[in-house]
Amino acid sequence: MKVRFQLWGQLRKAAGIPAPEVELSFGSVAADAIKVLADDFPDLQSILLDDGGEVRPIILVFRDGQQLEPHDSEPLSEGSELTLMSPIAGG
Amino acid sequence: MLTNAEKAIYEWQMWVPGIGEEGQQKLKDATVLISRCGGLGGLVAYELAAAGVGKLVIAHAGNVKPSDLHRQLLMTADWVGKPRIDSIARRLSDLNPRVEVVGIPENISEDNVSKLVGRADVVVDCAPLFEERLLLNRESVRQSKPMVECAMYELQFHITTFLPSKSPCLACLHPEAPSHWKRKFPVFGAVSGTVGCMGAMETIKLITGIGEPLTGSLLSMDLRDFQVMKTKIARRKDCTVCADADFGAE
Repeated sequence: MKVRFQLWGQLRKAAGIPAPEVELSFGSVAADAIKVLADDFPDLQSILLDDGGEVRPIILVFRDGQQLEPHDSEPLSEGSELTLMSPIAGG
Repeated sequence: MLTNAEKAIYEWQMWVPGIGEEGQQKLKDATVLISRCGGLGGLVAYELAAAGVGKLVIAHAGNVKPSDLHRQLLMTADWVGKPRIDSIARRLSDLNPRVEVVGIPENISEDNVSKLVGRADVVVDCAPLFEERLLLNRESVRQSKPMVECAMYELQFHITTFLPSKSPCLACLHPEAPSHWKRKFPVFGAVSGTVGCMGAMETIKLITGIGEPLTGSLLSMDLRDFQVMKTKIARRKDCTVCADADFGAE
């Protein structure tokens, strides 16, 4: 199944595109999708994943307008859209 | 009481439904703390001074640099090398001499945060470092002070409002300072100015009670293509700052 991302902040700049899609197996959750995204876009890896390959807790993940915990266990579905934001603090 | 001169100055905004003389008096009686008064905080301060907020406590260290001038509208070319806080106070006083400006030539730190937050009715967070933002958040929650949170990067920005015991806090949104964030970031003054004006309006809403503040919602916008997103912020049950706060019937 395909899942689409909307990238904000430094993530968009690092990926080079604002809305990449990834191919996932059924039953995948948000963290699985983010790891595949990091594989597809190496410049995102150090921002999205820690040294152990897990999603960093600082990454903001939204699904259908609601913030998710990075390790939310709700399976994604075909056409799901996840919004990812890296923290920003420019003043 | 508003003077006749004040009524003449603020007349047009007093026509806004819900403001009137009562709302204007609330603004006059209010004290707002602004943490850093650069590209973003400078516009917050300028609009709040124009609107007649009675006292602005502004924390901002350092001297004016040439690289400040493209976005920090309270700094002027003739002030390069001189203290930023003096330029800020001078410019705000020129705009509205009725506003009391308390200039603190320091950034928010462990040493001053408790005292500075204690002086304010509303806190506005405009610092460029997560460590300062998280410190200000911790103290605002501890003292039950509302905090307007504004931040930008490149052509994007976001804004939200934290109400202690009624909403998530900044540590729910950002549980730690991200290591990838750099002190120097790409910025146009028009972007920090846009979110600065929105932060000022959010502050005015909190003081006067008009409208619906962004409590628990994060408004994000990208001025590159005018994409807008409004999302709900989740409260972290393991939040190190607000997990023990009273959320009523939640």
